[in-house]
Amino acid sequence: MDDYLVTVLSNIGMISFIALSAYLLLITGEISFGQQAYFGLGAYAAGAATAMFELPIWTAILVGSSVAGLMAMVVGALTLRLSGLYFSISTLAFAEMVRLILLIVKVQVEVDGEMVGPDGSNGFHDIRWMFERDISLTEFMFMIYGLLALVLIALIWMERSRLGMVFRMLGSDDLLAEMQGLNTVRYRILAAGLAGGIAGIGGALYAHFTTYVEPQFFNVMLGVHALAYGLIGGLGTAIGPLIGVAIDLGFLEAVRFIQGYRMIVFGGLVAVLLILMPRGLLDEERVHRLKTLFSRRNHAGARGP
Amino acid sequence: MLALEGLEKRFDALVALAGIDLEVATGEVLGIIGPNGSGKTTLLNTVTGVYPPSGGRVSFRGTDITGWKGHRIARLGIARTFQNIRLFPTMTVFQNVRAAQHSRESGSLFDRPASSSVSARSVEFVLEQVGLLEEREVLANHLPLPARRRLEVARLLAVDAHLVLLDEPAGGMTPAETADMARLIREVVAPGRTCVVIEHKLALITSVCTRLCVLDLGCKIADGIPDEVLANSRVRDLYLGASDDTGS
Repeated sequence: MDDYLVTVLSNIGMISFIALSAYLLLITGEISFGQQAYFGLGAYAAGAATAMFELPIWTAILVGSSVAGLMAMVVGALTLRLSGLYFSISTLAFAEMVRLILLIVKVQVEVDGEMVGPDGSNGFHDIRWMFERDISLTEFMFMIYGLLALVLIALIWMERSRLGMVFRMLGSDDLLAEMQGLNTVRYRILAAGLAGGIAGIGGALYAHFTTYVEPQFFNVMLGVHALAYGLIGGLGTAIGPLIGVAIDLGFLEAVRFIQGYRMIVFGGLVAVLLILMPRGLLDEERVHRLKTLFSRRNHAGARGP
Repeated sequence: MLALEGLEKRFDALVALAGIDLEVATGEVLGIIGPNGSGKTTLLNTVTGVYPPSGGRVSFRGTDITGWKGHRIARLGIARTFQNIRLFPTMTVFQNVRAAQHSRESGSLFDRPASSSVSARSVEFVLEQVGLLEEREVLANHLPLPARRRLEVARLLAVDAHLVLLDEPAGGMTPAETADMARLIREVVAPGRTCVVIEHKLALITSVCTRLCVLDLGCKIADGIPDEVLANSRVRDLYLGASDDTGS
């Protein structure tokens, strides 16, 4: 595989984490424009863990994910009593706050005679774990997809569990869920934390893949894309947002003549889909129909001729 | 079972409940009627914790639940239906009932809803009781109105509720459908449960209720045996005279 293809595939993998993060909130009925903040916090925290404190990569990813998840829970507790548009605006405001704070934070330590650490608007350079360990891009790509598979399996498993049902209930009718005995505020904070943690894993990987992060990357466009992926691919299953990412970063990237017009095509695609399929390609109804189809086929197969 | 003392609810200047005293005895089927805007649904919403009361006290089975959050009240054993029908539209009939059970359980969050055959059978049992077993895999938003109301009832039956509150269970139904709903309430819901039924349709009220209470402008104006209450001249003037009884 050439480096270009590996880079494209790795980007698809890493961005999938933030798409899944936004998706998890979308199924609970929350539209967050701020998941890029947790992606960014995960990147900075994990980058600091390996570059400044020389911790192992898995610890760093855990640190990045935890920092992002905990922060998301704090923000969640403060904002989840807001509803609809007010919630969305508060997530955006928080994410911008994080970005602006990262633009001025300078915390550097000396490692092997060099100063490393976040350097305000200059970004965070020299997250060199890949070079130090002599990890190839391809090897790192497998790491990305390994983790993505784990998160995806966990999410699909969650959707079949009681917790998944609870999240769908929140997204479908908050008051009804409360009237049936669910502590809706507590579950919303839990959803926010899980979503933040998932975005944090993506950020942690991103920091080590690019070896350099700057606050500017975690701007609102990243968050808007993350939302759009779920809305394109569909909110009926966790596979949906991955289809969204693949369409944007895979298909549109691959089709050369679209180059330069990608954002126009992507924006148009989102607009058309929102009109025709407001909950995406694989929405709840279509997923239900597919499941019924498969279970019928299985039953028929089991009975045999 | 349920006791309200001087229950008040104000929305800014609007007084929706102006100090209601009401006791519901165990095993009773209490009907509440009154013109639109008389505070019937507000009463239900205040009891179930949709919003806190502005004054007065609510107690349920000896516990003071005034100002409690909705989910805590529900877990004490109060279940309700909604005037405008609330279901999870993208879940199947089966899942809607299962979701109601799940909301009240305190078991592990990672249990598979479909995994327990015991609970699946209990869901099928209540679906059979309300006549929706055939539709178990249909999405709730594909059901016709009477079936949606019956699904709301199935949800009540599936959870261990001591008190059930039905908000216009026959709203929008034809006379034949209303009679079916009345039979369902009388024969399946009421046995073993204390019920409060809000309804405009007197046919349903007179066939299911053991007691009737009339609200007007947030006040209780009559309370007693249904036939006597309906014979009361003040009730006839205020309610039957002022409003049609076809439901709205």
